[in-house]
Amino acid sequence: MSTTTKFLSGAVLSALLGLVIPYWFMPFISGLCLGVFFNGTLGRKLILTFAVHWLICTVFCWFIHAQGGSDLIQRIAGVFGSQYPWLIIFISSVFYGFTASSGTIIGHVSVQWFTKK
Amino acid sequence: MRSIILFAICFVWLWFAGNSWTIGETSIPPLGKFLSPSEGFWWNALSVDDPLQDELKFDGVEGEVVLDERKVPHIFCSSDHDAYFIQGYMHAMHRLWQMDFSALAAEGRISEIIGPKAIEFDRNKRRKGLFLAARMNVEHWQKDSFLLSRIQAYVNGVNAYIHSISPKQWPVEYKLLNHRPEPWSLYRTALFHKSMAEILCGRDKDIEMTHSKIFFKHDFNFLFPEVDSLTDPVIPKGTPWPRAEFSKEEVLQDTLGIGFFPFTMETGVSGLGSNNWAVHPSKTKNGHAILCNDPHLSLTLPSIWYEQQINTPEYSVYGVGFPGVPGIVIGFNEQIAWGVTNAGWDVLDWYKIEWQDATMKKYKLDGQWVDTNVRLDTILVRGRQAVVDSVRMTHWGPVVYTDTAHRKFGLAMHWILHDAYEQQEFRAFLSLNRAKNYEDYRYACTQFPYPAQNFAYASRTGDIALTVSGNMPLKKNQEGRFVRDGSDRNNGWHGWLDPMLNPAHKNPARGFVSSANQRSTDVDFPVYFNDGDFRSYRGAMVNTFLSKQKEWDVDAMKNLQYNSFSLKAATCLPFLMSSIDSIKRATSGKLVWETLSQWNHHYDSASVAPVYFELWFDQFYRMVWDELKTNGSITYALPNEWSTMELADSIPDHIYFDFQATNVKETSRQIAAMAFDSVLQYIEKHADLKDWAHYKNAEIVHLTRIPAFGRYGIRTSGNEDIINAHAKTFGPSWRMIVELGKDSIVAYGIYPGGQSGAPGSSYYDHMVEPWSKGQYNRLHFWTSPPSSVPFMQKIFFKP
Repeated sequence: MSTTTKFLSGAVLSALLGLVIPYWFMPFISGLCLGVFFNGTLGRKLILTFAVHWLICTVFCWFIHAQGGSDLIQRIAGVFGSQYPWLIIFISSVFYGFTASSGTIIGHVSVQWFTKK
Repeated sequence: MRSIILFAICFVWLWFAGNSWTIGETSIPPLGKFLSPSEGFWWNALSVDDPLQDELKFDGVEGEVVLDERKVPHIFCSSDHDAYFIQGYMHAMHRLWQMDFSALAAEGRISEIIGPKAIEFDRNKRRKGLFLAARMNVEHWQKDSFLLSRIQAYVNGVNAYIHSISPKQWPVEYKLLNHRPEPWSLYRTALFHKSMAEILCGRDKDIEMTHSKIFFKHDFNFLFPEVDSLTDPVIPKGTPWPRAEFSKEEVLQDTLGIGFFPFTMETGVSGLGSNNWAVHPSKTKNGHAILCNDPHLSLTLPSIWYEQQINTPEYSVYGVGFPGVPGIVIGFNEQIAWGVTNAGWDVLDWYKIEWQDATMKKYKLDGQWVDTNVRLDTILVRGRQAVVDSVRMTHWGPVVYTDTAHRKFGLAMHWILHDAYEQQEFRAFLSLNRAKNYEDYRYACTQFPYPAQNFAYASRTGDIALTVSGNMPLKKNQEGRFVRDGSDRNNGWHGWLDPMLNPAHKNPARGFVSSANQRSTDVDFPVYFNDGDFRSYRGAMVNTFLSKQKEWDVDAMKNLQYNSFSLKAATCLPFLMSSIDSIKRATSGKLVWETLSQWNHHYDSASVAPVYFELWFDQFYRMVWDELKTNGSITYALPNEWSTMELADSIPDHIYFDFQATNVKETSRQIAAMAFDSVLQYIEKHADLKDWAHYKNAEIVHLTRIPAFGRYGIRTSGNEDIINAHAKTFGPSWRMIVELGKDSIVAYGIYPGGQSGAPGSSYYDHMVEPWSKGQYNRLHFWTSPPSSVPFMQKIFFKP
């Protein structure tokens, strides 16, 4: 299994864990683990972490939208000044991805600091 | 360096996503948490209408709940304790945030959630002392085991639900406003009742009336009659009264010496009210008594009402109540039905307090300088420093308004909520819930302390009755109508009327009882009382319709509750139209003239005529009373529409018809013509005046005023002062019709909202549409758990 495949598997697991463990900063913690325990450049880790978390969150949110949650999603979109539910799905997924990516950055940079010393 | 920047960016991001922010007056929740798919609003969207667990276990509680197709819980239990526990649990399950928020609002704690913009709101609530009244209630309950055990069971039920859910399951409003549910308590239940009392008897026009009394001098009594020629009282004229209880001698008026008050007072919605009536079997098609009720309140989402049925071996009762409060407030049981409207008695009076000096530590009372008691209230404010408010307590009650510029005087309130009583509103409602006959109903009515309500009654035995229930303060003639001198203890109330002597009647010869917030009695009632701001149009119309028709049935009652005929329009329009000359009728005003000529005086949603009339009458009314334009913060009460039109018709050249902006002296007809011209200009500029519904632009707002959670642009007929009293923001908050047959009870009802308080639920606002069209739901009155009829779910409570 290549490093990229391993990282992708870890990122998918991390994104799924974040959906079931009810703490908003869960993606940050799992992203941190991705940054610490996997090899690779920061750029690649960052892109993969964000993309996987963003994608899985988007799919999950669309699933909720299709499963009868559309009325509330529409209303929440309204709270944010939009009539388009996709906007709130997009924003949520971006938040999810950014939170995970923050963890990855901090994890990766921390490892570099410690190994330098 | 690059690493440090990356670190910093990440921490800034986490800090931003994990905290709430206030931008201007807008609070933003912690977005990371709110948008989280695992604990934010997405969880609410995922589970919004999930079926509940079929079996719930709580120590010492046993019962069954059947949720019908509209999520109305029908509770079946073997004891009151279990029934109220389950009722509390169901209220919390469907309306937790609403209950919590309403209690916080009544306590004056909204600033803790929404920040500085609610400080004045909170200050006002605290100065009025709703929380003190609630504490008094709780102290009373603690000495009354019958009430205490039942209300405590309800409280335990609410808390059982709160403890059963995790933060991710909290209603979405908690997440949006970033607060958490507080445990329920007896105190919070009492608070809810106090907030209802405030809505119904917590506002008046004493200050405005004082200013108008000074302004109009000798014309005041003519322009502000306590009973006008339109008034058809709740208890009909000619009803014999029990012995006189109190002298009605007129008090020496000290109004002129009282002066003006530069305060902007909180005022209620004009025209707010309710209808109820009961028709005797001799006037119905099926020979059954029929009772109808539609309380008019400010309409909100979630609705103020929650529909439910409670069954115990002792009784079975169906109706609506308030989430946060045990029992049923309006409804019916196996023997009787009852409905309520506000009687509007003035039970809040204002007293001018003279301060000794600017420190406001002493005030004058009976010729001496007396110490005030100062209560320090700390108002916590989200995102800001707490605000400390000093509330000065006097012999009369709290000083709510103070002349802050000179600190020479203040206004203290004496409010019925601050007095102690033996009667308890819950005893009244719990007694009504299990009442079997007229005697039980009468007992319940005597237990109701305030705000005075018209309790209409009908029974399966064919009796109908109406009792004006509530404590009536004994006042001398005109007392309490104006601000009074607070330096004389004799200016206070003089005791209370024995509740058994309250105005009431049973099985009147006319075959019906009714109330629509008009005056309770004619002036010959042995005790003086005055009303709030209620007007007489609806009462007159209800009585006219009920008198005319001989054979009433449920469908006819539905039509009557939805009736949009305007007596105001029918009586005012002929005068207005007769003021327009023939040239204008045929030229520039032709369209409006013809539309109004053909109008049947119904405020139908698709008709444009009511728009023209409203514009015309409002303009006419404003021009007539232009003398009373608000002078700074001095506000005046205006003569009502009926008195204005009587004056316009009988003395058209009266000085008040002189329009101040011109150099000539106008008559009432000239003012009507000038107002007509203004309307034509307005219509020309506003080509989008489509019809009444569009002009009215009715709305039902969410309690937080978040637009996305409310309903706007609702198309309905009706208006204030009409039986179907649906204006822009208030209207029939619950329509109920109950036909009490000898063998069965047939009931219909609807309210504008839904059982669920969760925005996004299919049961959040699904009844708004049918309600707006005058449609009803058939109410399932199940005295045992159904097995064959369609229902949504059964939930078993087991120990």
